[in-house]
Amino acid sequence: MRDNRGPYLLTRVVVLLLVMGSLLTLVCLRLIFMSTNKSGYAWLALYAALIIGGIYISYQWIYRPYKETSKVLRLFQEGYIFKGVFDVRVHFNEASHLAFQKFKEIIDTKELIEGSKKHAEYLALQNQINPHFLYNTLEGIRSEALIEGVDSIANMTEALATFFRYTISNVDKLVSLEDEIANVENYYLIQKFRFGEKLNFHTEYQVEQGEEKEILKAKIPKLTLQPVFENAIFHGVERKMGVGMLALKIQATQKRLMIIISDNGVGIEENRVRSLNKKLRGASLEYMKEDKSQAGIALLNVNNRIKLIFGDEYGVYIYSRVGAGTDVEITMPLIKEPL
Amino acid sequence: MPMMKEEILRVENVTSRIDGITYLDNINFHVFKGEIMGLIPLNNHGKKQLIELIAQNKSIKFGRIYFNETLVNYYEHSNMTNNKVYVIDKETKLIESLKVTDNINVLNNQFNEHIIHEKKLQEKTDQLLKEMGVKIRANEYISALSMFEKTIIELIKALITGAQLIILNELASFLSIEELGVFQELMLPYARKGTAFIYIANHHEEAFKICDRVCLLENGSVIKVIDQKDFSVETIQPYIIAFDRHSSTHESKSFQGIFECHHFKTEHLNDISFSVRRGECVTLLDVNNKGIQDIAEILQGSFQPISGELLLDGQRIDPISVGNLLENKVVFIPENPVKNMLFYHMSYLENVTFLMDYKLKTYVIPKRVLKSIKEEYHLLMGNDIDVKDIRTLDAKSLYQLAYYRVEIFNPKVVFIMQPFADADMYLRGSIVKLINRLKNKGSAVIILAVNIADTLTVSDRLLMMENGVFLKNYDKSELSHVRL
Repeated sequence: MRDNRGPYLLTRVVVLLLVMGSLLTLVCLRLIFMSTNKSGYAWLALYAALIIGGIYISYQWIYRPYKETSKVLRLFQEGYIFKGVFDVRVHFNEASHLAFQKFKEIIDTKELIEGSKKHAEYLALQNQINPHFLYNTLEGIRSEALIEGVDSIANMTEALATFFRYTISNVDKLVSLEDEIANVENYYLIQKFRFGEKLNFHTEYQVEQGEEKEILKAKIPKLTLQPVFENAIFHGVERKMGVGMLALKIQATQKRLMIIISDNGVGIEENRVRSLNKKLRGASLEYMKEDKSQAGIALLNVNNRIKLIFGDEYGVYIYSRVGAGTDVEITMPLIKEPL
Repeated sequence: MPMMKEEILRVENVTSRIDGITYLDNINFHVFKGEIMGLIPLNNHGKKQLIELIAQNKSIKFGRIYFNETLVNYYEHSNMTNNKVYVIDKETKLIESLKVTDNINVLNNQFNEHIIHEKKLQEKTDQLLKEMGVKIRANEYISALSMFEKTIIELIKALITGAQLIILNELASFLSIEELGVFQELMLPYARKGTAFIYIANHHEEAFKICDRVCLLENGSVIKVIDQKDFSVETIQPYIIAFDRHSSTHESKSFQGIFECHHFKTEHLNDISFSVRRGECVTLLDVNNKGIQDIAEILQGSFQPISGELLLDGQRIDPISVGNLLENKVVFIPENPVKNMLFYHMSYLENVTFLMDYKLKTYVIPKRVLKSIKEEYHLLMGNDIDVKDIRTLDAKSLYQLAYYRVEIFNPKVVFIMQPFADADMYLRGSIVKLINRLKNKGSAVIILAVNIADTLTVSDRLLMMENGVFLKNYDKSELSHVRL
């Protein structure tokens, strides 16, 4: 649908003006040199029809594309779209088209991706050096050491080390879904020491039989799932009485990968869900200025990276209600080979 | 390698605003091929616009719509084309004056022949209907078919025209339980073959029975998608409002008087008898959707029963005509009273006092009566009572107006046809309150329904009817166990 590009708007205006001008000249010449008789009226009717046709064409060919392009620029300015602005169907003229191309090349989303990536690392690292995080984890190790003996300490330390290693390495690459899920499971293991039976987690593959292996090879940006998962624990189930259930659901089509992270936690207030989903609709770096401790920052970061890497049509969407829990849906293209 | 799932529809961050009103607000959901996706509208805001937008690529403020994995509509450009979608709802799209075969085969954009071979098409249609196990003849006129049969023909037409997605809009509001079961059996094989369905239902119990997934629509957004394995009352509980069963019925109040129906016989009613006390609410649940239609038509004066009589407090109502019924304070509230009972050229007060002339036996209602009604009901109706143009009111106020008109008349018996049809969850809550008010004022309330949903919240008894005969009488104590 988007490929339906045609001549530039300026070219269209010029062509139409030339055609209409020629027609008007013809009408004038005819009126000057011919006396008005029956055939003259027929000619006039023909010219009138041509002029009406001209007006219709100018509406379809010039006015509508102009409105559409203006709408895209406005949506860009309002923060609804980011990459979409480079894909307008009809540019104003060649110069503006080239300018947009150049702009796209210069930006190439590289710096923004870098910025988001750095922010993701920062958010993850912030947790690692967060005294509560370290304290709780070490407290877990200590109590386990006292009660159980050596094995569990080894397991826990291993989980922690693996988590640290994964977070720091391979920052630039897309990783496999399998690696991301392994990281989430590892993170769950660490949190399990703290929450014990209060925390439960399972993964569901909502795909056709035999597809699971194929899907696990799919490439996704690193640290996409863990921040969302962490959000679900700390802003969802931690504040809830009773057992916290976390689920990771995987759906896929030939073109898309959909990952849903669900929790049965306290849920998010309706207005906040709406405003978060509005923010998640576009890509912007505004969120970096917001309070880091606020829920949703990690989601905005993940969403931003997905949109910048893959395009505006992918990203994060939240379904939530107070008392019912939260589902975070992450949509990405299904990529089987590294980019 | 196994075949991967395919999306037939993807609605992505769609915002639709018409005349300054946001009908769809950043709505997001997808439907797979061969999937039956349930859609439960918690309120009806945006439902109509969503259906229209799925069927036709109209202009949207923002978002993208993919049909069959192709971008067909997005914020920049909407080309107004139609998607391969067929909507089945109460208003049939079949031509009543044409035969079944013509509706299916000829009125169809896939039909490209210049000469219509009537016999050939008829044979083809008969064969198709036989294969599907449908007992409808291809040469029958649509006007001769029942609502259920028309719905089946629409399903067949949708499949023949190559619709890849069929939207079923609140089937339970016009099909009986039995018919609904048969219809679902018919659609299942096609879902397995890859046709996708959006099954719009007002009740989760109904949707859970047939759907693969269910999404909840509220204020133009999908607020939750529930997977089949999570279908349970616990999952949906936080999203719905519970209508407290018998919350406002005054058990202690007892009213004198009884309404009786003796040996009623019509084409579809086979010698039925029942009685209802004042202040009691009884639901007549018709599994086949035929008997209650007869009752409704008799109450509207369309025809007379073959035999049988109506008795109010032992006095026979004779003749059974609209006027005489009103004289005896027997009122009938038709289905969708907002559409069928109100007069939109009249003010709120004129509407609400419409039956007063019968009560006061005068053609002009005295000003002092109007004034006292206004004063009495101002507390209840609020500023609505002063509204001149009732078209400006919302659905809830209009329903209230229809019921208050009946309440002011102080009826002894009220028949209500399908009170909850076409009403969203919040509206149904309001209707429950209105029916309870009638009961508390001492009216005998008889609900004529094809679907049990919600009627149990107000009913004291349930009479189940099949083929014009009462099968079972459920008492109040048994009602909580009734599952259909």
